[in-house]
Amino acid sequence: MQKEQITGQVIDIKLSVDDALMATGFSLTFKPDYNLTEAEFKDLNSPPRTWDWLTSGLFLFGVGLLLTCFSRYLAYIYFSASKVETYEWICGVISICLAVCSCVIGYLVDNPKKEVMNQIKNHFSNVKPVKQFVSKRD
Amino acid sequence: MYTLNKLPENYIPYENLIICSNKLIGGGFAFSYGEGLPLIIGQGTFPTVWLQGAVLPGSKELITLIENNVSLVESLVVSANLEKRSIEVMFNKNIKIIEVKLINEKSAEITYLDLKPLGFNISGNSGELHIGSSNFSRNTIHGTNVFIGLG
Repeated sequence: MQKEQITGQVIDIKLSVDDALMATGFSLTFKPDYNLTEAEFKDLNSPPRTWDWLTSGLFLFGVGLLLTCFSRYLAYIYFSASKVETYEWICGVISICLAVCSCVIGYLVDNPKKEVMNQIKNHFSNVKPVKQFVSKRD
Repeated sequence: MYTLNKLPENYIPYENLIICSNKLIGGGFAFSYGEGLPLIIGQGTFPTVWLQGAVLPGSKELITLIENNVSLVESLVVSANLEKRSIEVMFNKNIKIIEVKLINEKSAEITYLDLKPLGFNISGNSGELHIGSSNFSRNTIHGTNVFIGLG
């Protein structure tokens, strides 16, 4: 391509230059790190959300209640101990239902920690190691 | 990869961007490479730089090397010069590849450019811009959002 000199013109279109790329010299290969910002770090470092601990608390409480009922039911059958009342089962079931509700709410409301984790996961699965060719310097 | 259709979220264009003496009016970009934009300069306390390099020679896919004045690779360092109100990008600690000076809130000037370490045959200073075998100086670019398409 011949040498072009464009000076002092008013340009209103995109110009094209077709010899703008270098022949390659040496290269460096790298995999870019995830650029963790301070805000994202704070999200990751934050305590569990209310909905998360409420879900696990209610769920475990429900399972505990149901297990107690079950063991008393077994005792009733085999050792004729006192009968399990219906309300005792209901307590456990309600607790589990509440846990499901709070789990659904927790899923629907913002979860910054999960978003950041997903971004990081995507970064590491999508960004391939890269070879950057650079020209040799004299 | 940032393109004309996918710009950085916090990018605010300068009304006037002087690219090595060539004045780009109305907000825009110095270069495009395929779909991608190798160099994006936006407003900020200091000029804000996004720099992308080609993944492989000949490939039009770009990878982000500097994001919002933060270098993502070890070989590039971004530094702000309070006195000159400028941003400098150094390659391998001692090769300056970009210097962008703040003129005022709406204007900035690229006063130094040497993108050879990134594989682009582009260099320039405050008087002239060299791309391949072409030279550009004191032009006014108006009505297009990209000054030069690289091939």
